[in-house]
Amino acid sequence: MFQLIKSFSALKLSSNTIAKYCTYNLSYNPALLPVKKTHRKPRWVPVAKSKVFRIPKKPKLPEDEANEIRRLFNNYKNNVRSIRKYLYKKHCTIFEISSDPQEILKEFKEDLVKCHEINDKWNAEVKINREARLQKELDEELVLAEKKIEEQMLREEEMYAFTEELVRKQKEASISFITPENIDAIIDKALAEETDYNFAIYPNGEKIIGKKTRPTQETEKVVGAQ
Amino acid sequence: MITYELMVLLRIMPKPETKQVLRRIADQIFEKGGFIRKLENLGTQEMPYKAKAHDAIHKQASYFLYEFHAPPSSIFPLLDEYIRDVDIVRRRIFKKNEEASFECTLSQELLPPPYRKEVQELITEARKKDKPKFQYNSGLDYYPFQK
Repeated sequence: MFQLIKSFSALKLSSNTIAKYCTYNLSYNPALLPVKKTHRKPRWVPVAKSKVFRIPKKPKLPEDEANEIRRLFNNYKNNVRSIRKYLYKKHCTIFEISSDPQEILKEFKEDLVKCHEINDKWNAEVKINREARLQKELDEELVLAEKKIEEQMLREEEMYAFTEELVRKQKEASISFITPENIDAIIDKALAEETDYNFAIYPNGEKIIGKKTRPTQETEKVVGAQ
Repeated sequence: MITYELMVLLRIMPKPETKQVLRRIADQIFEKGGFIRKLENLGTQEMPYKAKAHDAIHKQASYFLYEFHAPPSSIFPLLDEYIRDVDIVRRRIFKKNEEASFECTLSQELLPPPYRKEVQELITEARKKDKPKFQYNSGLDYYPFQK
């Protein structure tokens, strides 16, 4: 602060002025305030409670004045309408064409002939395209159908081969099927021999079959292991 | 034609009696119009938990496996017959799945991770997601200036 006052004093300002600029509480100066605008209620603010049931009075003009306004308005309306109609008639092209029915018929017939020509031309073009397209589609369908038939034949052959193979395998297996005749022998054999699917593998690929088998030197090696 | 597997757990009995029970089980299949493919004895073992059957508690059982063909409609009657047999502790019938063919890849699986093909593929896949590194295109494999 002291520095500030010192710098101001270098400008040769009075102490009053320095005090004025160095305080934040500036005195009231209407020139520094923003221009005050007329206040309007925002759109979203509803009608005040005291004004809700107020019915604004309908403005009523004196009778002679109302008659005069109506007369002036009618006058204006008629004038504008007449001008509009005049301009419409003046610039409208519809009325320029002759109203002779023979001539109109002739023009219509000429136009019809032209239209027919264009239409026939188009039809001819479309016919060529259509025939080409239909032929192409037919060819494609034929190819597709042939392909489908071939695939079907192939599938049937595969299915036949598969069933044949299945039947052959079952026939081969049926030799060893167990029937009431040989069941006793099979049971005796089963009771005599125990099957054990459990096995253990060493990291070097040695396989030890059996749940309670102890490792011996004669252990078989897994095919494909190191 | 469906192949079924019948796993039966018999109570501990002397051999002649066991044979009779096995014969009884087989006869049931024959009666229903089926035939047996295979009969295996998996031995007398401790059961994984003690099981109660026909008012007796069993801790051990003789395990037998039948592979058989029978009409599918006869499976439920067969199970029904077996549950009423006092010598059978437990029974289950499964459909037999065909064994899937496979190649033994144990030698590869036992290799250290960086030598395994799967791991190498994973690494190459992960390298694809690396951020691009700026190439100096100087023809040198080191940066010649001080960084």
